[in-house]
Amino acid sequence: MKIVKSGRCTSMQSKAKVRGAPLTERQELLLCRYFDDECGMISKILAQRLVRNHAHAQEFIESLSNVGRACREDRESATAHECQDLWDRISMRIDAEERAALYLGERKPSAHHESLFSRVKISQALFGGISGAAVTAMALLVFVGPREQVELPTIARGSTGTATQGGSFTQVALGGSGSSVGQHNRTAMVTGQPNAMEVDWMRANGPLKFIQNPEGKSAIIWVRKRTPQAAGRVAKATPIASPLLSNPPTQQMFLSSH
Amino acid sequence: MQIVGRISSFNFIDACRAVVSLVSTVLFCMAHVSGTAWADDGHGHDCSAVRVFVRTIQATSPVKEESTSEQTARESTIDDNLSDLRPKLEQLPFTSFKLISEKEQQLSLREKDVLHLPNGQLLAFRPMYMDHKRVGLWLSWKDEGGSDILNTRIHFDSDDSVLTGTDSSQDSGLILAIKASPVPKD
Repeated sequence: MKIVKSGRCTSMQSKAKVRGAPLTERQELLLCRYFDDECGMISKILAQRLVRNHAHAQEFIESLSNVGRACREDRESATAHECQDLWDRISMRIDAEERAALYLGERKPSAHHESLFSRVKISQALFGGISGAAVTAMALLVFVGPREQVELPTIARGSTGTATQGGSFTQVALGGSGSSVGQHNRTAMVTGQPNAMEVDWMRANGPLKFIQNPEGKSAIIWVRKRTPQAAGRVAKATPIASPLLSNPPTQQMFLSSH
Repeated sequence: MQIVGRISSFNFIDACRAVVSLVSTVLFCMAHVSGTAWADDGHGHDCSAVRVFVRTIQATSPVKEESTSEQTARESTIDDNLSDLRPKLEQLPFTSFKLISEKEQQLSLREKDVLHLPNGQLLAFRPMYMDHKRVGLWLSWKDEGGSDILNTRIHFDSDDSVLTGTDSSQDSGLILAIKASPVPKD
């Protein structure tokens, strides 16, 4: 009997201890999760048991609900108050703008911002125009270049000379002139030679020779057949624009032995 | 953020405008240039057709090296049909010149034509322009294998014959005499 009583007394005393003891931090966290409905099944059972058996747990739960209710009420009242203030502010500002427009005129967009954007547009348009003009000028130079005759060398009358080593050259005027061998008679070129043959470009599969006509008519264009040795030399040679600069004209036979 | 958004929108629109204006400018200039390319030479188009006369000449009996100083005194055997070319042919180091073939072709300006030469070679030409004084002619002389012997664009007097030749063998050469004369407009 005593034992039973003591057992009952022990359980009652333990319960009294539980009710009187404050909640531990762990128990408070459990109750917070239970209040927020974030507990699993086991945690939920433990929390419910704690609430049944612990007075402080019940009070803690009630305090949590009170705090949440109070916060919600404050927020709702605050939003309602803000909405009322916002519309009031808008209407007040409209009135103020109307009054200001009477004295100061209507409000216009910022000049500073507009000039910035217009400057950007103008600079881009200028850039586009300048680049277009540059491309056009380059295209004109490439496709329709100036035909200057100042740089045209003259092959002397009555002489022969090896013009190129099989390359191509531009704007060579070949016509009768009174120049001696080896001289660049630029003045003759500039004054114009109506009988001169002009060459825009020339390609040949061998060395070219120009044989001048003593009557001042067009020269004879002779393409020499390449020998195997000459083919190897020509492959390394670079195209020569001015025949007189590269090979001084000499009285040589163009059918040479080599 | 609003300002950045506005700037980016303006940049894209203006960039598109710049690109369109640039492309249109380039296209316009190229069209203008292509239409007036040959006008820059100052050559008019007095006639619409050109008559091209091509003579194929075989040159033999090469002159020896020692006789360079005696070129003017040597005797040259030149066909009667080539008498108008005598001063030029005598400049070449050959003593015998024989006319192999002659062909005449009438074609419009900038029209291309191809002549088959007797030895299997090809001569393609295109008159670029022709007035009563000057003619511009593109020539392409190809050998039997189709490779270029000579490819050139030349300008010469319309009453002149252009001679061009090449070595056909060790002791002979092949010469083309090309003359272009205008066909007056009706």
